Amino acid sequence: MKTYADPLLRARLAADYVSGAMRGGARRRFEGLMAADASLRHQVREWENDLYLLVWTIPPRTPPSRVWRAISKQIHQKVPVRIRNWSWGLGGIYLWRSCSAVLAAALLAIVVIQPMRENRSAQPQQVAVLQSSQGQALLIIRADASGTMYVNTLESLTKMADGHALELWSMPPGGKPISLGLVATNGLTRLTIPQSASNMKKLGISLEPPGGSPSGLPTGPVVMTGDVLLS
Amino acid sequence: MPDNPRHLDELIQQCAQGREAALEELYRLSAPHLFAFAARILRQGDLAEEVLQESFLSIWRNASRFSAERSQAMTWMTHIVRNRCIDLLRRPGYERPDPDGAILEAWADEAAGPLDLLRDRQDSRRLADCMAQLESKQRMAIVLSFFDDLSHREIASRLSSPLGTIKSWVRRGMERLKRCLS
Repeated sequence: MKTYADPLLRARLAADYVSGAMRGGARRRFEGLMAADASLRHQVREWENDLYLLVWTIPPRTPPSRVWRAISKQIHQKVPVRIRNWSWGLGGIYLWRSCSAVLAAALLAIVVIQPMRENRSAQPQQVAVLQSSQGQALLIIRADASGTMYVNTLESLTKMADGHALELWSMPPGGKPISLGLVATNGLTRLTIPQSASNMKKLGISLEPPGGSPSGLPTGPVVMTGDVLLS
Repeated sequence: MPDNPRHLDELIQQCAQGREAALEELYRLSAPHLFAFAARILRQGDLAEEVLQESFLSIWRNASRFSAERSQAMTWMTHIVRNRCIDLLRRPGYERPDPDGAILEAWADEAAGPLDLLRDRQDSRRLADCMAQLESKQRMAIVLSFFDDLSHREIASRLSSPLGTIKSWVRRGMERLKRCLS
């Protein structure tokens, strides 16, 4: 992690990320770094505020009216948006895949220490590392300020799942668990945090029938848990 | 599109209070720009529709997280759209049509067209002035990298210059831009 202390390198990476010059696996690794580094996120946001105005240079194009109809319909139904698992393929996220429990612990340490030195005004992010009951780190999760949650497996969980679905829950102390969606056994899953789960303290994964818990509460064993930390 | 970014801020804040009419107006004002942007990146209209729909649901549900002090409204929405597009591009088996050269064409010469569009707007005037100060090859490399999400190799073949050179155009252009903007 030492290399990333160089301010010039940090500035360059932030610029590369926003300009689009950074691609593929490098982009995902950088997102991992940002998850634990508020000042890096701050730099990226500053760049975005400047450069994203380029969007005005594209000739506007009126979307078909069915798009608004679909949006309006989904808002009226007031049901959670279908959670989609966009599998990102096998390449690229080798940082996470090769990430050992030691590194996961180091990440946790960074997450805990970092807020003391960082810009307090920076947007808070939430981070959690989920561990098995044997203390093995299996998932790293971060949630950004737009309400999107990124779940990365640290190793393949196919064997652990054994044909079951992995369902992620917010587990409020003394309250009922709230489903956050299904997580892919391998790679990255992106989820939208439901409004009802805005205050997350502890997360857990349970094994459920394919398609997820039929009852809306965990029905199978909870195979990993972790606390949510602000970074 | 009214040249008043504050208005968009207000609309997002009203969305946070559950006012659907505010979302409708926000959509009317910004969707044509965001749709064109998504279609530009993805180069496929039907997928751009999907991205636009999901993005506006996300805007609606997360409106309370928007902070006008931290981000401009359009930047915040563009961020949501762009990230969804990039996710889509990463889907296994996704095949992206070749770029059509529209960006290259629009930004060629002294980029009068796009820069005038930026200058016309209060919020992007400063960016226009700073972009204008870049060498044209730096400007071109940045916009191609931004809109067409090309690998540097692709940019290199389109600008007929070696890969290393193009990379340094993007980076030096961004460094100069930063100095000018700050």
